[in-house]
Amino acid sequence: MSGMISQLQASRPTDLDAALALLAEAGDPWRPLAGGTDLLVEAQHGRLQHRRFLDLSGLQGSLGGLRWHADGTLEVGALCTYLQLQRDARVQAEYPALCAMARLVGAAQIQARGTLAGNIENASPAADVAPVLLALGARVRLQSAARGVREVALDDYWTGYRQTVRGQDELIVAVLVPPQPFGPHAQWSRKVGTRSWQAITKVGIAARIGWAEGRIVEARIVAVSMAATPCRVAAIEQALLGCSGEEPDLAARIATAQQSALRPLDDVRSTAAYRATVFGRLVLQAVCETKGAAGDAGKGGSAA
Amino acid sequence: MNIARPVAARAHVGHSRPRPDADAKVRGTAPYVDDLPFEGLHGATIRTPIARGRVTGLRFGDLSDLGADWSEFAVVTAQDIPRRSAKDGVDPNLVALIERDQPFLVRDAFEHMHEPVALIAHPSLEVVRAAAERVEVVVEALPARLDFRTAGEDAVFKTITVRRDAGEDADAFAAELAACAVRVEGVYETQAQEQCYIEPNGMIARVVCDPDDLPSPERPSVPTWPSKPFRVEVEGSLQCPYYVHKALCSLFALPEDGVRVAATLAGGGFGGKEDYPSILAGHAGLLALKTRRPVKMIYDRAEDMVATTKRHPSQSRIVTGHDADGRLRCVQIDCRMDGGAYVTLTPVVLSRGVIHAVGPYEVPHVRITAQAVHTNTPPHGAFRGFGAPQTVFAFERHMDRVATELGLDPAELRRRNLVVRGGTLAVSQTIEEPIALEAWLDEALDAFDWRGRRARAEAFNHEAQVSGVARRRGVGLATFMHGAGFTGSGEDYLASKVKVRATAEGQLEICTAQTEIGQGSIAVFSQIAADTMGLQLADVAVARPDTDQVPNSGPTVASRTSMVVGHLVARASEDLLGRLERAGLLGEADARPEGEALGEDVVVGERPSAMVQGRGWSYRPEALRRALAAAAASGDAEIAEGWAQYERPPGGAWDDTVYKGVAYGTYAWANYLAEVEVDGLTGEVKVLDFLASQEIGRVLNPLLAHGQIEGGVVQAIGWALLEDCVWKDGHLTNGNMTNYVVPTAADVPPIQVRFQESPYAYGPWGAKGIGELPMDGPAPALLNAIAHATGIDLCALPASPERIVAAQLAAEEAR
Ligand SMILES: Cc1cc2nc3c(=O)[nH]c(=O)nc-3n(C[C@H](O)[C@H](O)[C@H](O)COP(=O)(O)OP(=O)(O)OC[C@H]3O[C@@H](n4cnc5c(N)ncnc54)[C@H](O)[C@@H]3O)c2cc1C
Repeated sequence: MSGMISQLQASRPTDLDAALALLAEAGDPWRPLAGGTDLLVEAQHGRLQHRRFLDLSGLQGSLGGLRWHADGTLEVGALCTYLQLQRDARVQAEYPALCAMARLVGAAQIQARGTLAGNIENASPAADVAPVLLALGARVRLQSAARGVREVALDDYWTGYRQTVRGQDELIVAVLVPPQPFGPHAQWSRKVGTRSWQAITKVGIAARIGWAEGRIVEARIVAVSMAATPCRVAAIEQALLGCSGEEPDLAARIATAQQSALRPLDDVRSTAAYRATVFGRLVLQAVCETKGAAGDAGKGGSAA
Repeated sequence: MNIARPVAARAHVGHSRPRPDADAKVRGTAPYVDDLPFEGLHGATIRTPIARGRVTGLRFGDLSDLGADWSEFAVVTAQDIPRRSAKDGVDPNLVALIERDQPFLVRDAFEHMHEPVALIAHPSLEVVRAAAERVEVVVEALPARLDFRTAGEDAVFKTITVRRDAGEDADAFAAELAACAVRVEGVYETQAQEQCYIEPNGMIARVVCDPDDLPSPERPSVPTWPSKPFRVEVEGSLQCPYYVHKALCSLFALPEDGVRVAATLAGGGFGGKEDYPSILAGHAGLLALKTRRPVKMIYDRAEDMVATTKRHPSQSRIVTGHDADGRLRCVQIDCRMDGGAYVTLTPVVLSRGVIHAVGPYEVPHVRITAQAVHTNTPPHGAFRGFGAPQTVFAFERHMDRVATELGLDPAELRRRNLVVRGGTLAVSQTIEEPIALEAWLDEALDAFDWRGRRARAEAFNHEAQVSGVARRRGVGLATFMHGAGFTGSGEDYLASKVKVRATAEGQLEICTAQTEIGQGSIAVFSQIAADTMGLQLADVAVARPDTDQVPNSGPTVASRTSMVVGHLVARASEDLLGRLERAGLLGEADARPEGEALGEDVVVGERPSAMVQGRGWSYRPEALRRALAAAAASGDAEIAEGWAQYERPPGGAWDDTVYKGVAYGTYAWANYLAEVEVDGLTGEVKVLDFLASQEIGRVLNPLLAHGQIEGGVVQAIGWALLEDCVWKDGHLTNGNMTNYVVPTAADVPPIQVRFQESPYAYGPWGAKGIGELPMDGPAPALLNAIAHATGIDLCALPASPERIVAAQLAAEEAR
């Protein structure tokens, strides 16, 4: 049931403590508002439950931009947009899959407003960048007035369809992406959307596949739009370990593993059959292309 | 008097003159209906919640959290419309269109979901929208019919048959078919399509009535229907002011001068604002009548998408019989279109579909049976192409399947069957105009390097297969035509009139009922009138379509605006020129000196048409301006106004009873070619390149003509590859721009647009209509290209990745 915009309330604190204090208030909960690119769509569809909005735009100082830790961890501020992310040269070099996917979110307008934190908290099964973050082993840093700071691995962040572990009084303050053990070539992602741009993902994959001596030694395979949340597919990850990619029955092995783990749905955007078939093919493609890239990189290394 | 040296010439026609309305639209300053200053009430519509049933009551929910109360609202239901019969004895609650079966407001039984039941109005838009969701329509459900393909014969409300030669008799036709060397059969399906104009439907209504009929402190509430004569005035986004006018005269039982309909700037229409605005205008008018206050009703995107018309879904079964060399001998087509819940415009959509069903080919024996059926979905309505895209898709897809069967190049198969001058179309229309379809086909093929591209695509695919790459390329063609103007005797019935008027400033004002819906009618009319009179474009203006001010020149539909109404603009301009001369306002002294150069761009010696001389360039422009100003000052309409009324061009007539004869005065002819790349992993189709080649009589404004073709091609790419209406129990489940997927710029290939010109004697400077043409060809060209790329023989739209992958899996299974 839709309320009326004129009945809504907004507050724009300019320091983090004030924001956290509002979130801790009893009564009608405050809903954080970053780029608004998910929230306003919800409002337009009459699905908005909240009446009080915490506009984060005054917190650029504490939540904006990117930082690099000494150990090579990338810290993405909660207000960092896709545009800021993809323009950073070091991010491009070290997290190419993240940049590539950021460039495919919506189109230019959305990339200029949308934030990674918003993408994570929105918890859509069809999100594009959050699954890449999951494949890269990212953690979410939450902060509240009462409990201070805690970090949650993305693996544990989504608890169900559009549900997260975030407490009502907590704010995402940053997303932490660890340095990548297998470098840029192990990262692979692909979005199959409803059209070229401004598209919602019908089926997608984000992966990190580490190779050593022609064999897969690590596989993190994240399925998008295949379940209630973006999720790692442990059965496929296990099936891939030790593979060379040349196994004649690899597709069948992936399919079997997938069948036990994923039950995609028929919905307004696609069919279960399409999703299941194409996801299996994308896993295979990820294997082939990361192998090729790992091989090329190896060759490049020895030639240098 | 007539001066001695008539100078027929054109300085504006044929040039890319900018649209006078473009600047404000591009800057965002152009006011659309929702931007107009407005003080009054906002209306909202309460709709049926299921596909079929009876309304048993309305429950008005609590509004206290909105700070509102139902006493603040005006509510209108069908009860407010007296059963008192209108002039012609019909329930005034039924919309006056082809048939009167669709109610403005449900009285009791209803036939589709989202059918209007009640209207509410309130001073606050926000409140009225929120309150509308608190009204529950209580219903008793009845079984609904949702699949037009399987619907029984009792659902059929219109049947059209075309018979040619042996086709007249079922047995004789069967014998002819049996004797053919090759027979090919197929079933082809197309889906509904949403017009997706940028601006949703919107309307403002005002009622002018006697002070005695207004509420007063003593008498705060008045009966809905005034006791004294009154007037209903509406303005809004629409294509056909006189359709709305007719509908309102009937609803309110008012004489013609009791209703005024004015068009506001329209943010697109594509057919979607052909019939629906009559309903919305009726709704706004009813609320305005009940409240005696101005009422504005603007649909949001979701309401517009679920409640208003879409393109008719169709199914065509085609059987063709050919000689061994591919020549067509027999065509049998059984076609069905889904009309939805009410008749609306479906009979004429079906008609246009039928007439275009066999394309530009010569076939001796033809048997077409087409049916329109009722289902419990919102009525399907006009959409660019109006039935032709459906049947053209079916036949052009079929032709490629025939070519495959025969092992023939698809272009060669078409070439062998093209109609020639003096030849006859399936509806027994003999082509009298000079046409050169074979040469035009070759021109298009060469321009796209058809053979070279096909060969390169095949080489690419071979290479890809060897190296294990999943991408496949293919090249496809569609050959088709589109008749402009109303079908058959339609233009005779319309009997359109155009007026041009001299203004005090010495300008010419063009008065038509045509609305500028993005096609460029203001620019093109100005060019036509300016060249007929010999004026500069700055001396010509186009009046706002307003039934108080402009004559009925018919609806803005059917690719008729430039060709049919544009021709009337030329004739009316010439009529006024004659009046100025006869009134002595132009004479020998005003003539251009003999031999005076007319300017660089001017082409001398071209008459606007067989019916219009276009002598305007014989006068000096300043003399014309002076004459126009003097004519306006005279106050005498006989001198200051020029008129023209439609006259049927010479030639044969159309016989509606047997579906034979001159279906359209002329056709535009086209060949569209596409190259695609299909990703075999995901089934995604990328359109790599596109060529749209067409003969359109005369290009009036190259820039706008390119725009029309490019826009139509993009809209058709959407229909062919992306757009699908997903229905569940009669409800459109993807009624939003998130899940109803139209193409964006990123989905559009380079589009090469080419024109041939073979002037039509009865269009302005030879122009034919082109508005709908580009919607017909892309879908079959693209699916033919997909078939060439992959061997996947899709016969249903859209060619979605889901369909392509399903076809791959089915093929694997079969192996
Ligand atoms: C036209 C369009 C196209 C789009 N295309 C894509 C696409 O291709 N791929 C894709 O993945 N998404 C897409 N989106 C969705 C959206 O843009 C992204 O999810 C975006 O990352 C959301 O970020 P935001 O800053 O706009 O979030 P908001 O809308 O501001 O917030 C989203 C949610 O996160 C919460 N939130 C935001 N910041 C915080 C915080 N710091 N702490 C706690 N909670 C917070 C909000 O309360 C809300 O629940 C699209 C949206 C639109 C309108």
